[in-house]
Amino acid sequence: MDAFKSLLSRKTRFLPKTQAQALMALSEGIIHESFYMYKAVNVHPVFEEPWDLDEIERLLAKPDLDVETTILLMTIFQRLIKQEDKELALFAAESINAVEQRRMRKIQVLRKKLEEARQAREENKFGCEDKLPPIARALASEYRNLGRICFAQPVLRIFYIEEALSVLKRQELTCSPDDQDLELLVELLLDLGRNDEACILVGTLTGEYPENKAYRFLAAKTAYARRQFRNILDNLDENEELRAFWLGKVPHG
Amino acid sequence: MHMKQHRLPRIVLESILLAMTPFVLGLVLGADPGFLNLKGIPYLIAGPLFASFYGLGWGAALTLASCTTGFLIHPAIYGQLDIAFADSLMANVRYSLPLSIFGLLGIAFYKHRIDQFSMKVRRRLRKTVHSEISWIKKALSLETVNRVLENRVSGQKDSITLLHNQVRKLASLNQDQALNTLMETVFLFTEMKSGAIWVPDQEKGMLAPAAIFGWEQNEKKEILLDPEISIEGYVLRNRKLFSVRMLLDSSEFDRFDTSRNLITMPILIKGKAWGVLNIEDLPFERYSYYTESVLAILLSLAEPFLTSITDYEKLKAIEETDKDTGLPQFPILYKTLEKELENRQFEGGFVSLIIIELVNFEELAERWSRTELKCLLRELERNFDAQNAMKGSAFHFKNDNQLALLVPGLDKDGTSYFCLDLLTMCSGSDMKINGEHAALEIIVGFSTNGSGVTSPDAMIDMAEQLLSMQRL
Repeated sequence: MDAFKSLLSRKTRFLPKTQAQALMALSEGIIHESFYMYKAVNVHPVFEEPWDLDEIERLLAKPDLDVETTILLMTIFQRLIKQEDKELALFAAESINAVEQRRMRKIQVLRKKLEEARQAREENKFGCEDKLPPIARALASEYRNLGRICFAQPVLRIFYIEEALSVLKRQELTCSPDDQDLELLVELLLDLGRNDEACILVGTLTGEYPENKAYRFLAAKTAYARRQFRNILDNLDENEELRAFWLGKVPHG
Repeated sequence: MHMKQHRLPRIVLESILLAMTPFVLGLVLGADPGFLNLKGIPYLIAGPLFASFYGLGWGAALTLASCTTGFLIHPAIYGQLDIAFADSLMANVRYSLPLSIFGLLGIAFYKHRIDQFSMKVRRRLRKTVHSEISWIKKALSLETVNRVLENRVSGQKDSITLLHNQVRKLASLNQDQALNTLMETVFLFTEMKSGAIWVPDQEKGMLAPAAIFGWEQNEKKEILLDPEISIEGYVLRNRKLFSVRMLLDSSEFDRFDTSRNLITMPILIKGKAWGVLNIEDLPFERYSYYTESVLAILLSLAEPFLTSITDYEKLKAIEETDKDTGLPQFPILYKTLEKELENRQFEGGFVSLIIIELVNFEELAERWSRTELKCLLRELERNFDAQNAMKGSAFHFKNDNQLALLVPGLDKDGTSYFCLDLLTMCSGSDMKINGEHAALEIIVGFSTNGSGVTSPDAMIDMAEQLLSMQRL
C-alpha cells in the first residue's frame, strides 16, 4: 500500500490501466513491484454490473480482439443501449458501430485481395492460383464472424452468413476444398438452419472418409440439430467420454 | 575444423615470408652474413614475434628456420661458413640467442594464458547469451500466458459475481420480472438459444408459458400444452428431470411429443412442483452434464425467491385489489410484510417498507378526481421502477394519498439512499393529468427490519412516525 501511495505522489502520477502497462512501467522503474502485483491479480470479468466502462473501452481498443470477446462486448453494448442515460446509450451505439466498421474494413481488404488474385489468375501469372483459396477462406471466415457478432440483428446475421456461404461455394474452393472448408461449410449450413443440406453433405463426407473424426463429430452435431438423437451415438464411437454421457453412464463436463 | 584447415597454409606462408625477409635483405645488402654486427637480431627476433601470434610451436619452428637460413645458408652462399664464422657467431649471439629463447618462451607462455583466459570469457559469454535468450523466451511466454488469462477472466461470462448479481435481481415480488431474470440467468450460464418456463393453468387444465426466451416474434405466448402428452406435464407430475439422452435407453417417452425438449426440469417450491423449466435449444457442445448441474443449481438458488413470490401472488388472488390502480390493498401489504419478516428470521437479510405520501392530495383533488390522482401516484411508482435496478412491490397504504413499497435486500443506509433517489426522481419528473401539469408535494417515510424491529406493526409505526415528522 505504501508503494501505491508513493506512486500517487510521483510527478507523473502514471497509473497503469492494464497488466501489460504495469509490467512495462515496472521494467522502466516507474512503479513499484507491489503495484504490479496488485494490478496483475485485480482482473475481473467485464460482464458485470455496474459496467466498468474503462475496461470495456480498453478491450474495445484492442486491434486484434478475438470473436468471443467481441461477442461479449456486443452483448454488453446491447444492454447499455437500452439505458436511460443518453450518454451511455450513445457510447454503446458508437461502440457497436466501431466494432462493425472494423470488421467491415477487414472484409473489404480481403475482398480487394481476392479480386486482385482472381485478376492475376485470369492473366495466368505464375504462382497466383495458390493465393486464391486462403484469401477466400479468410473472407468466408470473416463474414461468419461478422454474422455471429450481429446476433442482435437476425436479418443482418443471416445476410453475412449467406455471404460467407457464397464465398465458400465459389469456384476457388470447390475445386480443392480442404477439411477446414468443409467443416466451415457444414457449420454455416447449421447456422442458417439448413439442417437437411448439412446432413447430406456430412453423409457424403463420412461415407468417403469414415475414419475422419472431425467429420464424424460434425455428423453427430448435424443429427443433434435435426433432433435425430439416435443417430448421434453412431458417430460418437471415437469420443468415449461424450458417448458415455449420451448413454447416461458417465457425467460429461 | 574448417577454420584450422584454412589457417595452416596461411601460417606456413607467413612463417616462410618472415624467415626469408632478413635473409633476402642480407642478400640484397650483400655484407655481414647472419647480421652478426647486429648480434643476429633480425634472425632471432622472428621466432618470438611469430610466437606472440601463433604460440610456442610455431615460434620455435620459425626460430629454427630463421637461424638455419641466417647462420648456415647465408654464410654458406658467401663462402664464409668456417670456424672463424662459428667463433664470431658464438661471440656475437652470446647474449641475443638466450635472450631470444627466453623471449620466445615468455611470450609463448603469456600467449597461452591469454588464449585460455579468452576461451574462458568466450565460454562465459556464450553461456550468458544462451541464458538471456532463454529468459527472454520465458518472459515472452509468460507475458502471453498472462495476457490470455487476463482476457479469459475479463471475458468470463459465468462468473460468481454475475451469478450473485442475477440472484439479487430475483429478490422481488414481481413474478414476471423474477421469471424473466431466471431465464436470462439460464441463458448466461448455459448459452441456451430458446426455452420457456411452463406453469399449470388451473382454469384450463393446461400448461401455460410464464416466461419465454428466444421465441420467434410470431410464436404466440398464448400457446398451451396438454400435460398428458407433453414432456413438461410428465416432469411436473413426476418431479423428475428429463434430458433428451434418456430417449436413447428408454421407450418410456415414446408416447410424448419431444420435439421441443432438450432438458426439462421441475421448479420445486416447498417440495412441490410449481412449474417446469424447459430448454428447447442449446448448442451441441453445451449439452452436457455440466449444463444439467448448472440448471439444477440455478433452480435451487431461485427457490426461496420464488417461494416469496408465490405466497404474495396467492394473497393477491385472495384479497381485493384497488379497482382503479390494480394494486393490492393494505391488508395484503400487512400479510406480505408479516410473511417476509418470518422468512427473514430464518434466512436473514433485510426488507424495507417505504411509504410515499402525496401531501397536497386534497388540494389537487379539487381540480382532478381522486381516481386520477391515485393513478398518478401509481404512474410515479412505475417510472421509478423503470429507472431503478432495485425494484420493490407496490401496495396501497391506509389512505388514498399513500402508496407503500416493499423492497428486499436493503439495509437502513441503503433504504435512505433509495428514498433519496425516489425524492430526486419525484422532484425531477413532470407529472401531467390530462395534459396539465400537476405539482406534487411528496414526502417519504421508511423503516427496515433488524435491530429490534421484527413485527409488521413496529415497521409501519416507524415509517408513519417519519411521515408525521415531515408533515410538521
